[in-house]
Amino acid sequence: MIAAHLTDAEIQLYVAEPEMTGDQLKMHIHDCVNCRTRAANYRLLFDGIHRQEKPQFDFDLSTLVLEQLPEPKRASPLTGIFISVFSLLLISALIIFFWPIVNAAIRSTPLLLITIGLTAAIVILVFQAIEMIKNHQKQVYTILNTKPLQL
Amino acid sequence: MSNQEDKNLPDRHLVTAVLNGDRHAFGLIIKKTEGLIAQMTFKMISSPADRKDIAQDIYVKAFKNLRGFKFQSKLSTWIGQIAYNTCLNYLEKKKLVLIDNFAEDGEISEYNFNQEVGNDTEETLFNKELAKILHTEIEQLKPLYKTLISLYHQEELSYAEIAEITALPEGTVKNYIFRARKTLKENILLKHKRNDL
Repeated sequence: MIAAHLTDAEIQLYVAEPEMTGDQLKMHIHDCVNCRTRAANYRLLFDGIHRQEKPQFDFDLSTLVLEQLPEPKRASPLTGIFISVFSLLLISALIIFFWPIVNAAIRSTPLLLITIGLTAAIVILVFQAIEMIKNHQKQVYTILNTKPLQL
Repeated sequence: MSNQEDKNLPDRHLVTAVLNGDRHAFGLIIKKTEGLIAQMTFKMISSPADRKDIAQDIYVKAFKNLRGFKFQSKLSTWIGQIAYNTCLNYLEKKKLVLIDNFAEDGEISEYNFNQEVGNDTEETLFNKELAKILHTEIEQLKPLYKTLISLYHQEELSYAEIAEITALPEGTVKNYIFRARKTLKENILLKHKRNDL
């Protein structure tokens, strides 16, 4: 049994989180009028704070904010296609322009090295494709499961 | 669908809808979280006009940064973080003190507030009076202390959630809340005797 009066921290802990309080502390409070009074005061204080009226805005925050929101920037679906086609054309043009150099480089590179390079490239592309499909499926799932919203 | 049901939509649905261009979904996010934001701004910002601007600023920032929200916390906690930082910046600009060091006063003799409460009417009056006194005394606390106390006791957030919002260590949050309650209790004991109630 604890002989000395409990500290303020112990009393607060006893009132706010009784499950965190040890049996010794509980026993002391049970037997000590002073500590029981202090605990009762804290309980009253906590209840009083809890019951305080919650502040509320006296204006329609939602309307005010929605008026200020910038227009969402939505990427056009054609943008992606345009970038892909442009990149493909650029790479093709570069290969055609530098064909003598590219051709010589391919001929001088051992077949094994080319095979390894190609395999690595195909594996990376396959993994990227799988990732894209997964992301797409996730987005479709989210969109399908989003309930219609109303204000 | 009723507004109440809309308010209960999971964070992920609302965020996805906003990111897909549905601005009304953002309205629902505001409705869902404005209680917490009101609590924080009322406790940290005393000027009603500034509070109105800041509340709007908080949500505009949240909207602009929503793509960066990774669902590692509750949406309300994330918006709470934005609110806390926005209020903090405001206080810094205005050179207002968020917190000061409490002088460790000696113990104040304990008074039993409960002992003289008799019947129900008396108790109701006593509670009303206590609510008024508490309101005044909470307002006297420094902004950080009243914010922490309100988040814990009124909004019923855990120490961990408050720590996340304020970016303070959990131990520090506990310590500040403890000190704020102690100060509150001592101020009430000093200024208001039971007979005044």
